[in-house]
Amino acid sequence: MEMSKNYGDYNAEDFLRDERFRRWVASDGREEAVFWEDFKMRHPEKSGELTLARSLWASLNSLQEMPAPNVRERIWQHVGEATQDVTDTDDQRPARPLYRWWLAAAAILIIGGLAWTFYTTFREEPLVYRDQVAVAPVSLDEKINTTQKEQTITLADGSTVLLKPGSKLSYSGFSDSERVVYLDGEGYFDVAKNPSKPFIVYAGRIVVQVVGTSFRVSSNTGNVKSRVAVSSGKVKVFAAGKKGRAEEPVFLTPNQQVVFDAQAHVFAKSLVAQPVQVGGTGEPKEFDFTNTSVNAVLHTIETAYGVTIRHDNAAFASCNLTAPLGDMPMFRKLDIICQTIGATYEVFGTEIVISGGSCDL
Amino acid sequence: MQRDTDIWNAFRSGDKEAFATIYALHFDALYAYGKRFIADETRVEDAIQDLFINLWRGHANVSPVDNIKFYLFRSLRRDIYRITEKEKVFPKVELDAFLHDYDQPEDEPMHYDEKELTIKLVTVLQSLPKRQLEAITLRYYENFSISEIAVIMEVSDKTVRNTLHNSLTLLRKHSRLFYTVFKLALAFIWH
Repeated sequence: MEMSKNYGDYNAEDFLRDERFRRWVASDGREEAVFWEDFKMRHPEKSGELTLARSLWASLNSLQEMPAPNVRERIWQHVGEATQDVTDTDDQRPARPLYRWWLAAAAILIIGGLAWTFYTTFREEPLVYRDQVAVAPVSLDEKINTTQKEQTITLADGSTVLLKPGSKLSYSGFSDSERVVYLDGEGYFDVAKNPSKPFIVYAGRIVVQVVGTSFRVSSNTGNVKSRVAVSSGKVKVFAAGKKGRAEEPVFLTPNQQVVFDAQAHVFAKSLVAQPVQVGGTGEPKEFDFTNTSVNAVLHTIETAYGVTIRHDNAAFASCNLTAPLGDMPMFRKLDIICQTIGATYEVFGTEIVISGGSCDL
Repeated sequence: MQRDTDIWNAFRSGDKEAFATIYALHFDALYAYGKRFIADETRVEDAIQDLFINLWRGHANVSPVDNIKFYLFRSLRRDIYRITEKEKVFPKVELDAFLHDYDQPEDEPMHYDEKELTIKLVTVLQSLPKRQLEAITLRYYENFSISEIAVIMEVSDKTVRNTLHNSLTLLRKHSRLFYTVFKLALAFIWH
């Protein structure tokens, strides 16, 4: 529209097309108020047209169906995940971390001042590290491992975190009721036992809660999948945000891990690739079997690694085995046992299932 | 405020922040527009989600745009048309079907209550054929030009112009009726 507006000639349609008028009505009278109050004084003959324009805008506005508060955020998340791969392969410029998109979206909302509810919802339940840190109730120290080696961080309660290169950890001196840290990347946590103060790791899309234990969390901003693997103790994992809190958490015991797929919003529990010894004597010679029944051998492995082994072969009770399995990894031990007795094993989730086995030694 | 052409060009060159800006600025309007054609909100959400996913995937190949909202509205309407082709969500009633012979308004001032007039207009608008309401919304709420509305709705400029004229005349008639009733009521109270 032209600079020299003759507002005195305006009818309702002209007002509705005018940027100044639109700002006035869209802001519910907060913007441009002085101009329009003055206009009403100087053009009392226009009050009918102005009222019609305002009423028509308000009635059209009331017929607009607005999305529920969290819809924009949720759809944006889906769009981000679906387009993520394209950036890595297709883009000439270095891929920006995903959280920058979120910030851009949030910034626009503040500037635009529209859909305030969305922004507040977004603030209450952020799903990325940078935003989680930004809304933390206490001031945090941030450690970014810029070296090429793992770095050990010792927290106020004596817990330690072995932080992978490129990963970030934010933490405080801890409150009286809980110990909260924020992770982006990968870290191995060795948590000092304190049942009265749960230890909580916010790692983007997932939240890990423990009392005293050791476990590895891997959750990078921008990655769809996050992983928690447990070495000792019991760990509770749930999806971040309101939706996650409404769902059942996943409980992990040693040598179990869970992968959370943020896109499908599902947890997949399995055994870690390299189970460590968590029970038994902890001595390699425990696995030097001499004329031991297969049942007893499998039971020793179950106890030592905290795993469940299933089979329905009655012959395993009377079939004896001699094998020095010493300090080889658990799955290697199972390979040798199964080869010896002519059986095979498969891992289903957190269970090992052995089938076949003739015991024809 | 950044200009549409700048934001669009940044987006075309692969700037995800520009893409996020486009999304944040237009999501609500697109949602409200999509809801006119599909009652099921999850399908509207899916349509918008796919629109933005495809937009990003094709960012290197899209043509320059000087009105982003126009581009998005047109795309969403086409997508929804394609998705719902068999369901007849796009009413067949011609835009011109609603013809009236009301005179242009006189210059008589109308001093009535804005809130009550708004309520009145909502019922009038709801009684309009869907496509008329769509045209009025695109013009007076979304502020598109006549020719942009013609492209979005796939009709001629003339059809849009006539539709808007007829609808506005009808709305004015109702405002005036409302005004008269209001005056009568006032007169009744005063006497």
